[in-house]
Amino acid sequence: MSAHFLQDLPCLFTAAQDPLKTGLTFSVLLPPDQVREAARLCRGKGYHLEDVTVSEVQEGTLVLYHYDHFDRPGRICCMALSADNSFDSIADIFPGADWHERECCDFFGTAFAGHPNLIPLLLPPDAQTPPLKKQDGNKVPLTTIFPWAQAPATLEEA
Amino acid sequence: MFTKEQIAERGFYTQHFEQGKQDNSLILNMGPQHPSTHGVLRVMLEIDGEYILRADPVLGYIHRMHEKMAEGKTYAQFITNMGRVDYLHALAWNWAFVGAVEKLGETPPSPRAEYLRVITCELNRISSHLLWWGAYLLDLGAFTPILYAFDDREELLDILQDLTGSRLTYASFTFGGVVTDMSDALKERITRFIARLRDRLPMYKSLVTDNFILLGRVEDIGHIPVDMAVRYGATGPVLRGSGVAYDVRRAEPYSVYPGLDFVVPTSDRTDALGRYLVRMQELEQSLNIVEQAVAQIPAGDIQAKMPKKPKVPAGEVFFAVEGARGKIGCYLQSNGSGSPYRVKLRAPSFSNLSLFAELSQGTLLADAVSILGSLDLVIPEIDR
Repeated sequence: MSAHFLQDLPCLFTAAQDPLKTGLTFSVLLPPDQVREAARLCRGKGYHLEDVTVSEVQEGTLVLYHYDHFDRPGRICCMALSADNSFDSIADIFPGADWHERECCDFFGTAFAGHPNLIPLLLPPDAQTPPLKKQDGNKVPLTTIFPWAQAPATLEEA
Repeated sequence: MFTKEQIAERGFYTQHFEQGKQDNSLILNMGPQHPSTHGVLRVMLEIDGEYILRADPVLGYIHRMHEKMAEGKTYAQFITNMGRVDYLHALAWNWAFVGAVEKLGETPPSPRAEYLRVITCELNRISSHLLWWGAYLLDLGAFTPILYAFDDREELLDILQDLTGSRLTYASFTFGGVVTDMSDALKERITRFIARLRDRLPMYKSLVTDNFILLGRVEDIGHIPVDMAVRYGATGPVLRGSGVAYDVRRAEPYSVYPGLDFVVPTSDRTDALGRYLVRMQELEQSLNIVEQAVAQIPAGDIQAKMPKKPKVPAGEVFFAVEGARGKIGCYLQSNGSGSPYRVKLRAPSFSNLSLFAELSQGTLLADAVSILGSLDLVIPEIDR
């Protein structure tokens, strides 16, 4: 298999996936400062953004971008791990990400730097606790869900 | 989250409506109880005369936090939630979640159940499109069509009630199968219904689709270029009305769809009429699919042999199905326990509505109603 176009980025981990088993064709764990570059690459290749979502693991907060293509279907997943629950916004590259990022902020309190207006979307404006945040004891290691990504020992190392 | 001061500083609206208006313009609040904002959609508009300067959908009025409920329930308990995300095409949501669990656990449903799922899901798609058709025309000022649509839909709901046990909030899919089997008498009724609706569709065309009053309200209104659909991730008839033949049933084939003969209708018009025509053709295609599925359905169990409580291994899976409004996705993370670790529900209306702010700029207020209707929004699906 030829190299995936996302492998040009300084990826931490990549995995070719079996779409019949996971619904994905390719997954990649990027350093947080590369998610905008990945979005730009996907935009250039004609991919559309399916959704942006957040999940929590023991190592930190995980953001997931699902991209798919209308003419050459095959879902790819770009992920990044952050220790301080903040990422760069891609709303200027994919305007559709605007609402998705606001939803993630509602549910997890995740900050998206550079977002045009990160205000509550679905929750009331005075909602106090992000409802989907997990207690530390309930989080699992990254590798439980993504066995292909050997967990980096520390985020600094990543 | 935010303090009161931060809220005051940031404001409540994406388009900064709290900062007031320009000279000579008017800020108009449409919904959440406006007759054309079905469900509870609210749109803030700034208008200059009858022209829209900026628009901002305000969401969250029917938010229920399904994704949180998933984490506190077992896999089987969460199926009933899936009947309540999109009340018009609930079976597609059933399928998205059940399919995700089956895919991760590698426990496919029984062959007969696959066909029953296709039959019920497509009948549900027809009932959804019929309601959209009636309600859209109601928005545009035509009162009669919804009475015809509901007449047909009523027959359909009776059939679906026998097939699934409910009329609206379906939860009839189980891991490995479905709840109820189809009797021969029901098969008869479905065949009669297919003939009946095929009989009616030409009348709908001559009564409504070819009507010049309707054409005046939908032609050249709300052009969505393909690039806009890509930027916002629009799918379903909204995308196909812009000429892209993207349908999850063909793009990411699941269940027995690869063996069924149907076409993916598209229209190059890119306007509200294009989306209207695509949905009307989808009614015919869904009838074709149901007809074939009813003819081909194999005998056998409606439930594959598997434990009552599904054993879901740790891992991730994304399962997508084609709903009446577009790509419905269920992204599931499991840690191997009895409840999902994280469930993300990807709602097609969410992405389809997010382009409205850009699309409605510079259009007439009356056309914005036509555009909203042509997007076929189901608000509970957007708010989840």
